[in-house]
Amino acid sequence: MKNKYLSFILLAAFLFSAAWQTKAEGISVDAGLTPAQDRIVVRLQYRNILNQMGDNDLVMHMMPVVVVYGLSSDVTVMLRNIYRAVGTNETMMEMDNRWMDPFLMGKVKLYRHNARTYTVGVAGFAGTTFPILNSSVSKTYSPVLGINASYRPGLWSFDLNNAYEWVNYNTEENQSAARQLQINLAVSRNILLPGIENWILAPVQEFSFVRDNPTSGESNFFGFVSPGFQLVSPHMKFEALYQFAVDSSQPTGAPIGNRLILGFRFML
Amino acid sequence: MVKNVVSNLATDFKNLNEFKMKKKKNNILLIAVTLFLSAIAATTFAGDAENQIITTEKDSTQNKVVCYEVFGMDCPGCQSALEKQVKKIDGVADAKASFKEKQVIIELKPGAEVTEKEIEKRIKKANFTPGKKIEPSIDEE
Repeated sequence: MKNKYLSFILLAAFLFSAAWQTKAEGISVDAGLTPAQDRIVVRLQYRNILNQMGDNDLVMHMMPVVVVYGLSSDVTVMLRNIYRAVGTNETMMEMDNRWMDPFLMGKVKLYRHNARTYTVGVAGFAGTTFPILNSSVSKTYSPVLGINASYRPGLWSFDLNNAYEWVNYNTEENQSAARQLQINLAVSRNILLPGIENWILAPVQEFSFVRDNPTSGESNFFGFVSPGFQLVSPHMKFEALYQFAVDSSQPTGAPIGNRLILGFRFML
Repeated sequence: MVKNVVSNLATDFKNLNEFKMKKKKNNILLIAVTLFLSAIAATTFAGDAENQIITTEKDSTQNKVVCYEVFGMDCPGCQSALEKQVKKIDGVADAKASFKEKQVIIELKPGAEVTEKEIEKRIKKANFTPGKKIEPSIDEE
């Protein structure tokens, strides 16, 4: 029994030490586990984002499309692109509807242990946006480095995502517009649905933390407390999450608002 | 008196002959019906016999099924990932994984020879850990 407690404390310590560089994405339940070889995952999401500048609202509809492929059981590649549609824009910022720059990422299995009653996995990743479509202001890359961990005891899931992003890294000046630390912890539990074979319902609770260090100006941080759920079948997953913004007061005067995330994942 | 007795006897004898004739006719009818029914029954049983042979052949060539414990699956998505890997093995007809039962049931093609090593290799490629070869447990839910 003592060993169990000790293992849990060690694991928690490990997860939180690894969490120092992390990525908050919203419903990222497969964090530290790489998918099977030749696995293809297509993820379609809709994100409703409400930001405010004073009394002026800025509502955006972001629709990321993600394609994941398992090159091997250890290495996964991911390509993401986001279509942005501007809903309400009462601010002075000029924003149009467009595809954002593509983001390419590689994830590598660092550790995985499958036991009879639990699974533990750690994976590292590196990625960047490419200024192909010149959608970013500075027309440069935004590299990201991170490490994720997952712990799955029985029907429970604990996923910790960590990332450190050099936002709009300008290669000429060798500096980024901001450095962003993102931490995301997702806890969920599978509930077997009686009478529906091979389908599960998984309520999810996420906690996200983002620390933004702009090159000029004050650092700030904000977070989200996000309840949601997933409906999972062998080849499809529906996910819904509502992100309540926490401590969204920003020195830039643009408080972060609440967000709704809806998504489908097809697993082939 | 004597005339009356003879007359009665003659009548009785005539009745007896008629009864015998009727009985004979009935017997012939009965035999005919029996033969007819036998013919139908023979046809029916002949069909069953042919089916029986096919069934026996099916039984004799029924696919071999093996089952392995698998650790690391925690959702229905994991099941389909494992099934996809195992079905790639040459000689595997079908595969059914269960995260609840922590097992994969593999149906081999007739006469196929698949090594345990190959199955274990595929389970590992799906990022799961193979356990012991076991008897399949069927989920009754």
